[in-house]
This record gives sequence, C-alpha cells and structure tokens, in this order.
Amino acid sequence: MDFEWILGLILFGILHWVLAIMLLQDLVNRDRVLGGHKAPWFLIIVFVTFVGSLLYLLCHPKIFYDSDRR
Amino acid sequence: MSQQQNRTPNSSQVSQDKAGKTTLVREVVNTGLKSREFYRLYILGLLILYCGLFYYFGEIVGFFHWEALRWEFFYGVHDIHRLLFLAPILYTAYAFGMRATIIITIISVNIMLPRALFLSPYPDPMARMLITVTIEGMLGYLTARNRRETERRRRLEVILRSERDKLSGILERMEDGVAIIGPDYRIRYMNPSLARDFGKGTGAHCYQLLHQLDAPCPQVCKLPDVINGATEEWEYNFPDGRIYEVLTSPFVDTDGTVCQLAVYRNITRRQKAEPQRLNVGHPESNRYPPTSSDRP
Repeated sequence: MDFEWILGLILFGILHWVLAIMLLQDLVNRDRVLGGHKAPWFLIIVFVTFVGSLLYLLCHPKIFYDSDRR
Repeated sequence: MSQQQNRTPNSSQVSQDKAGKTTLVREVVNTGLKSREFYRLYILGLLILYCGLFYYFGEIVGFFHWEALRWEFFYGVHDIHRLLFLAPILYTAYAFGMRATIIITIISVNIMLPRALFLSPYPDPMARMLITVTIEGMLGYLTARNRRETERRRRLEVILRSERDKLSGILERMEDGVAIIGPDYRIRYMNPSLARDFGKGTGAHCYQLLHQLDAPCPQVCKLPDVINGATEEWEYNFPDGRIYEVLTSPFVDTDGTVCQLAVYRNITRRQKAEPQRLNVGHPESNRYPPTSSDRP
C-alpha cells in the first residue's frame, strides 16, 4: 500500500467522522426522526460510511434549513 | 369482550384514519412545495448531481460507449472540472449557512475522492484535489460567514429602527417640549410640542428662537454648566407672559458631542391658579391640574 493510498484512507476517515459527528449532533437534538427510532440512524451514520450520512441528509433535510441558528 | 371491541377499529374509524393520513400527506406536500427552502434544497441537489455527473462524464461515456461524446476534455486533468463544485458550495453558503456549507464541502470531497484514489492517471491527484477543495471550502466558509453577518446586521437594523420609532413616538406625543441644544447654542433637535409653542427652529440658536435675543441669555443661561455635567432646574418667564419650568441635563449626541437636553414644561396656568387657591384656603391647594391642560 503506497503513501497516497494511506493518505487517502486517513482523509476519508477524517471526513467521515467530521460529517458523522455533525449529523449525530443533529440526531441527538432532533425531536422526531424518520422511522421514529434514533438508534438505527446512529448505527447507519457511524457504520455505513458516507452513504449512511447521505441517506440521513436526504431523509432529514431540515439540518440545512436552520444551519446558522444552532 | 368489551375491551376487545374497543381494540378493534370499526370501518368508520379506519376510513377516518386514512382520510387523516391523506390530509397530513397532502398538507406536508403542499407546505413543502410552497416553501422556499424546498426549492433551495432541490436546486442544491441538482447542482451536486450535475457536478458529479460532469466530473465522471468521461467514465459514463466509456461505460455506455457514447463514442460521439468521447471528447478529450473529459479525459484530461480534472482541475477545471473540480472548480465546478464551487457552484454548489457557494450556493449552499449563500442559501443555507455555515454548517450546511461544511457538509456540502465534505460531500464534494467524497465525490472527488474515488477519481483521486482509483481513476486519475496524472501525478499527485490527491494533492491537487485537496488544494482545490480547500480553496473552495474556504470560499464557501467566507461566503457563509458574510451572509451570517449580513443577516445579523439586518436583524439589528430592524430592532434599532423599532426602538428609534418607539422613542420618537414618545417624544412626538409627549406634552412637554424637549430640545437638544449643542455647545454652540444651536438647537439640534426639538420635539413637535416645543415646535408648536415656539415655532420650528432646528438648526437655529436657542437664544434667538426661544428668547428673541442676539446673544446667549445673560445670567440665566445654564448651558455651560450643563455641558460640564450639572443638572439644572429653573423657571423662566417669557415676555409674552408664559411661564416654563425648565429641566436640563447633559446629553451625549450621536457624534459624541456633549449637549444639553432640556425639557420645557408650561406652568403658566398652574402659577396663575396658585394664589387663588391659597386665598380660598382649599386643603388641597398645593395640588395642581395636569400640565397637559396648562397649554394656553
């Protein structure tokens, strides 16, 4: 595994966790989520890298609306 | 048995529930379609989709064998293609805000990453991608910050305007005259009540407008003392017989100049009524009618 690959993976990991933490923060503050349960969304965001975050964003677009308020 | 009957919904309840759900869905759809945020989000989704498709258009052309579209541009260095992601990032910064901009920047990186890792045959694809995205993210961040500051200022302006309107409403409706007089004896502000009594005279010298003199009032003028911090109160008899109670205090104007804030209360009728009441010996002779009725 060459250096660029390792760099790519580290970058991917950092980006995943930055995005995941932002979405998890939103998940914790949110009163209602799609499906009614927060635990599955937590697992999806953390373990289904990037795709899970995208799915959460698509299902809860309100995170964009009050982007500056919180 | 009765409990079981309660648990089993009858047909009218089911139809009501369905109607309620249909109404709810219709309401959500209607609200969504009418809201500005929905269209903003829709535009953002389209921008991201177009940028993603354009970024991998060479691969799409190769996959579907669209030979007519096999242009060299789609197989060259993708620096220009990456710049296109500036559109959704800046749009997000302008339309949504700071957090949304960070999210869209990360999504953009994730879209670009596969090309940098697997596809690009050119040197240092990761470094070039990172540099471009960092610049784009910074621009987005600055735009979002600027937008937030603009919004904050707009809100503050609304609050300030409302406060100013409230204050000017109070000054316009109060019966006592109010004037702000500068250290040069010029009247900087006078409320409508004072303007009614003495005529409009903002910008004129106070001694000219109020006392028809050519120089500051000898002996009675307290302006220098007030500007130095004193609060004064006195009565002034005007040549036409009107008597005013004057209360003055220092006031720092918007330009930082220390001025005199003066309140003029017409006490002519009160003063004239006082000896009569004392003569009658009324126990409440020291109570005066409201000054609003004092106005001649």
